[in-house]
Amino acid sequence: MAASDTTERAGMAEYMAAAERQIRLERGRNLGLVGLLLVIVVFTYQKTEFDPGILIRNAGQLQRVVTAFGHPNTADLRDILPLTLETLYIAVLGTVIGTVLAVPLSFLAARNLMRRNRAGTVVYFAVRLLMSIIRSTPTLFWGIFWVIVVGIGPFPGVLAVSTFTVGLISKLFSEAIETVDWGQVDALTATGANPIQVVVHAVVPQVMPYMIANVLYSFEVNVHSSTVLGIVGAGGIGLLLNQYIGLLLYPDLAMLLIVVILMTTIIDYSSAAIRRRII
Amino acid sequence: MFPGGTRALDAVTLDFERGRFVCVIGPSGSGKSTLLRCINRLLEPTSGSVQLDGQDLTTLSGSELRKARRRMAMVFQQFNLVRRSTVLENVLTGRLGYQEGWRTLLPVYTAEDHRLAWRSLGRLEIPEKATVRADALSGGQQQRVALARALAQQPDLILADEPVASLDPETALVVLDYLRDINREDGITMLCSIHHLELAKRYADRIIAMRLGKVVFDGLPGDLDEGAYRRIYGRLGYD
Repeated sequence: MAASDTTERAGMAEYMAAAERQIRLERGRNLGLVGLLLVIVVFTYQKTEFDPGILIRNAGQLQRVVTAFGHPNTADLRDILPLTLETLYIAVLGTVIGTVLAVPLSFLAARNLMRRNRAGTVVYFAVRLLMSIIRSTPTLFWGIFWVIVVGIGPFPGVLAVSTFTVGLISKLFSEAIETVDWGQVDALTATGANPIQVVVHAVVPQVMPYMIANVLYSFEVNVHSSTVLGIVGAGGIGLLLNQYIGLLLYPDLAMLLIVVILMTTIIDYSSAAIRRRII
Repeated sequence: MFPGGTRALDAVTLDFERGRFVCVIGPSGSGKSTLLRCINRLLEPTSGSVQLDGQDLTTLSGSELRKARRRMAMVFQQFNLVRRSTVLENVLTGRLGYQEGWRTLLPVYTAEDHRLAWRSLGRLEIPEKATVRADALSGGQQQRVALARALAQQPDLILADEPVASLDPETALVVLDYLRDINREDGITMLCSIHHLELAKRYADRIIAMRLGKVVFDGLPGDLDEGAYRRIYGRLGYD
């Protein structure tokens, strides 16, 4: 190999020109994407009647709300605390029921386990479709649905949270299952283990930490959505929330929000702390 | 010294001459990687000092440390290319240590950077892969790109940490040949850890053997006799 300047070697100029062309192509594509994004922003800006001016003109309203937060109505705690706890119970039971139902479904929705023959593929797509329909329906709508079926109270709330959780958890679980190291599966298959044994002994140990993390994450999401379920009569603090907003009781609303924000923050932090420890 | 009291390197005093090809051998866990990583401070030695041309590297920080690091390129066992970037982008990263001030905020390289990157690619005879993503290459090709990145850095010293341990025997020879060419023609000092004794004897001007964090042999490849084997591996011969 010559120590001289090899950029002058034959063929080199060609490679450099090719690289130059590719870089220019990519630069053009990136500029195009930025332009497209700008068009989208302008379009949606107009369609949503976005108006920063209103924010400034209505600064007085903002001040009223902020002032209310300085003077929350503590007398309401007698009503707020029991309903906040009910919200928490709805989220807990709904998450547990949803998770139990989601476990078998998540194995049926894992590409790497199912798409190995025709029957498996059919089941895989059917489960995926069902789950994505469940997921695309917000918990609040599931609340309305179950209130119609079983009447008002916390029970339809639990059903609503469970339904949504099945959709969410089975997606998260099946994706965790799809990332397993297949070498470990091969190794256990080679011992003569049947598919169920392989899943139990090679797949489950690998995905366990992710499963626990996903359940905790779903629980956080469920606590958040349970706080508004009462608006449609499906139990929990949402009932009071609706009343306070309707009657423009700002100091009471402030008290309610402080309690709810405190609860969700504590749950989010402790759940995140646990997740960090297990992954 | 690592937490828990394990002493990875113990009372090691070594002097390296410019332009040599030095191989560091020894069993796994003997401190080869730790030695290399203490030199460019990917690991912080708990005591002792490392000097480059009389400059104490152990006390450097900030821009002084980065300036010292760009003189010491490193290649790794697992290549450590940015896998989703192209070969050319990977080689250009060898120039990052030369960017200063506001330039470091922009992902833009100078014409001189490009010239050096292309020269390195030519030198490693892999310019036809410039626009290919790094993870599309074979192991041997990836290590050549990693070497091109090191070369683009215009270093005085290359720290090669088990550069051929992930490669098949034939590819290993190709990569080591490149290391030797770069050492001889560019006068870049090589400090190469390697666990294959035969390869070390074939390429090194000087061999340093380590065992349990101590230097147990330091001399010419020809001086490695049975007594030396026993000190390194704790038994006669080499299997």
